[in-house]
Amino acid sequence: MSAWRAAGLTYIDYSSIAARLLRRALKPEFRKAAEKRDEVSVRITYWKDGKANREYPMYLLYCYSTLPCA
Amino acid sequence: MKLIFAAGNQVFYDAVAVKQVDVPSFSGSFGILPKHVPTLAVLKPGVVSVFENEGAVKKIFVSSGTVTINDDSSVQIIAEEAVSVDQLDSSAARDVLSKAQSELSSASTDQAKAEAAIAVEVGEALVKAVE
Repeated sequence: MSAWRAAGLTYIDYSSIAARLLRRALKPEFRKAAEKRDEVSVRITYWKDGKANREYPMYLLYCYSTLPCA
Repeated sequence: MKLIFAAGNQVFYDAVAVKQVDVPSFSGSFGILPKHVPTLAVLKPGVVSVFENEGAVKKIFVSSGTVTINDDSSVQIIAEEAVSVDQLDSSAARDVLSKAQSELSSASTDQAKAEAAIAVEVGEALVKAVE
């Protein structure tokens, strides 16, 4: 078993670390567009009686504790 | 041999016939030729080489993902992130590796160590790809 698996990480964790680091290793002209994919933003609207009730804009930034976000 | 090769950011091949594909996986790096035995494998960060029918060889760096070889000889490579190797920056790649190495030496928890070790592995693959 690999060390990261033994430490409780999954391949999903592995994959997202690898993808983020790959984006950081791009030439500057490609990096900017790629790093936008590091951020995931979600907008949630609750509907009640056929009407949009309230809107909660939510911005999530997926970062690992040990790896600082760019 | 029909190849589908796609990532979250880009589609590289959409059912295009190719001669050979080399992939880095957790079960080792291997080459895929027509009539390969059906296989599932998990991708490791590294360079996928696609030998096109016209003779060109495309080198694409994949972060991670899966490779599927079907009974009809079709191949699917699905990556989380993939870029042509010529889009990689050698100094940025070295930077990723050196940061990962210092994270690894300063990591205190098991999880932090494991994350940093993954980062080192990715950094090494990136540096190897740009050399």
